[in-house]
Amino acid sequence: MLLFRSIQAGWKTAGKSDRLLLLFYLASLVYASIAATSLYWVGRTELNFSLTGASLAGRFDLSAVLEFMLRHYDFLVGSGAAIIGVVGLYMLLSVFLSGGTISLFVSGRTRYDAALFWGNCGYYFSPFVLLAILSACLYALLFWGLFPGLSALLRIWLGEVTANSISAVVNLAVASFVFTIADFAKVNLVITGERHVFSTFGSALAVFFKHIVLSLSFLLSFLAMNAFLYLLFSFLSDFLQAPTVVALLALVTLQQVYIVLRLKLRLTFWATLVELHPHLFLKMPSDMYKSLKKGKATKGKEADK
Amino acid sequence: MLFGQNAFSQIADADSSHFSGGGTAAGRQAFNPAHFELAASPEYAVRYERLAGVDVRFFVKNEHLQYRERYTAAAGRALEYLQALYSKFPFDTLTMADAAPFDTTAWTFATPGVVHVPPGSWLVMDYSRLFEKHIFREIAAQYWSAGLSPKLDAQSWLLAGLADYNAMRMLDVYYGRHANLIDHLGLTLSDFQYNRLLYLKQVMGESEMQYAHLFADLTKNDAAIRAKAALVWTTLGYWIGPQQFERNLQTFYLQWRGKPPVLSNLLDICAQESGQNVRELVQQFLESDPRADYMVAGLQSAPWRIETIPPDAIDLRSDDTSVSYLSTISLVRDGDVIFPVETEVAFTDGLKKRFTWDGMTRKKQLLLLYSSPAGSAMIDPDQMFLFDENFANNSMTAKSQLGDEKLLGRWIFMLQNVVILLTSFLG
Repeated sequence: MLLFRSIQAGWKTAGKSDRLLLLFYLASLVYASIAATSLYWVGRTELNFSLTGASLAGRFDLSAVLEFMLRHYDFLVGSGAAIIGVVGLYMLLSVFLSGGTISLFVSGRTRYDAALFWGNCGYYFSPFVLLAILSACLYALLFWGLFPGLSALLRIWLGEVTANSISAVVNLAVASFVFTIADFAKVNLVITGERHVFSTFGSALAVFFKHIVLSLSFLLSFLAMNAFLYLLFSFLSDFLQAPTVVALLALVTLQQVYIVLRLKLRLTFWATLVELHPHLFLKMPSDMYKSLKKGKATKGKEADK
Repeated sequence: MLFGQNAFSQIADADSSHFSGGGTAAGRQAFNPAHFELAASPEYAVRYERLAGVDVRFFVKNEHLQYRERYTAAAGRALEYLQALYSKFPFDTLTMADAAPFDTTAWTFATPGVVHVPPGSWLVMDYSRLFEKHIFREIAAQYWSAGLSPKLDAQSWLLAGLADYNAMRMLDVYYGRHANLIDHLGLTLSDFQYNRLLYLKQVMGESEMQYAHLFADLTKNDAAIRAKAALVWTTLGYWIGPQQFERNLQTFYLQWRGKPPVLSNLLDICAQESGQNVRELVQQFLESDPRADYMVAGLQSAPWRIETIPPDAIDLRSDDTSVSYLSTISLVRDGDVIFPVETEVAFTDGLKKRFTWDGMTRKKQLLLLYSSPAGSAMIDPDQMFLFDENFANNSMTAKSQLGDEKLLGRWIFMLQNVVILLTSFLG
């Protein structure tokens, strides 16, 4: 019930944040358009009147894509580095925006406050980058240190087919755990107003496992919502394969609605974590609790004013 | 000691007593003395199996024990297939040994009776069948190199190519033609496409003079050369029919077992049994870069109200037809390789018809008179000519499919999803 109420509240909070949603959406659209346009220009006119072109909306034909890449190998090698660079920039931009977003949710303001938002974007940028690096390192350690051994044992005990399926789920679960813990830490950093990244990450790790049932339920709820959204999108997009302008516009609109909803779920994820924070962190050891109370009095950039 | 020899000894087959390690008086068992070293090494586990009637000895590195099902299944399938096609496995036993990482001997062609399994990186990709492909190919190579010619000669590429062809066919048979190498999360890749990419990547962008060196010395065990050889045999197989070609290979193997054959021996058998002029076809593949681009360059349909049928037109109408359309389909061969191809024309009422073009001229025009206009035309719809440079222009539709726009929408959507996924984790 607690989780359901928190998600409901989180959804409402995210629903009030139209500007934030627009900001995240435009960022993804601009980035993807820049990267995709170069691919479009090099391959245009090849597919318009062909059956290969007709099939492109329905499936992802790896060999067709590879052959396309082969024909335009030099261009793609040249632009590949630029595309990867743009991905890196987008990720930094996303980290930058997340600081301001979580701060707005924590402040409980219903109206968008530009000063609070942009101020906290900058204020939390470096701790959040450090958190991203820390969680990526932890994931890499688990992935390369623990996963091969576990996977080998599963293969011996359960046979390859079962073991491969379990390994795929375990891999996804480990990634989700690690990066959800990083999100716990982000919310805690903003609420406490601290910048002690390592200790906060440790606390978030402890909190995640201390409230393992709640944490897992929270995580699974969002995975289920994302899966449902994807299935719904796949089902609807199957009806929009016809090679007409109307069907194409409908397909592109559906794709973009799907992206907006995914981003809204991402904002809801953070807003729900803010809602859950007192239930997760208040039962922490006394020193953590003290730091939390201290943090409540001085929220990030707002305290500097 | 779960991963050690003790674990293996528990699953060792009772037939292990068959393995003397030194060969029999019949002299058809090969054994490399270095394998005694492997057997003694604590890093390796020894395992015995009897697969498709053949005694197989595995020297598997302890860290690869987890993949025992893949080893066994791949070796068993290859032996089953090849023995049904040709004859009994040419040696009393088959030894399969894990090669050390970066051990180049793992990539060389056929040590008699021994298959070197490449480094584990191929194994750990659960979604790829490169590992199975390697096992298929190496066991097939036992037939071609050890069964036919004991030494590498100037035409060993012929045998290596046939081993690659066998591997491609086995992947087709066991996993289907269109997704037999990768089939993961909706992404698919087949072995013939992989070989095409391997070959085309090597020669694209290079002039004829530059790539000529690639084929001057076909004894090289170069991936692009092997890919080319496999493509030559597969294209020939498609041309005379895969079943017919396999019968030809069977005759070739049985006739030349224990002797060093040359290319013309195989071509003679194919020509004799299939009744086709295969020599000319294969020769043009070997002498130069066999790339060519077969394409549909034009498709138009217009109402036809005149009583007379235009010259060269094919009348597909039934007698009671009152409205007729004349569809004109332009086919083009860009390149020197002549290959007979089919063209499938789909009319708007659902009728599909196939027409054969011998490819002798650079251009060909199909004139079709029918009660409905043509909706699309596709040259080489079964993708039999594997040296076609560009499959994307093999078809043409009467109406725009908005392919470019769909591609742009797909790229944008895919990239948005990728970055949102990445930032869900790190952002």
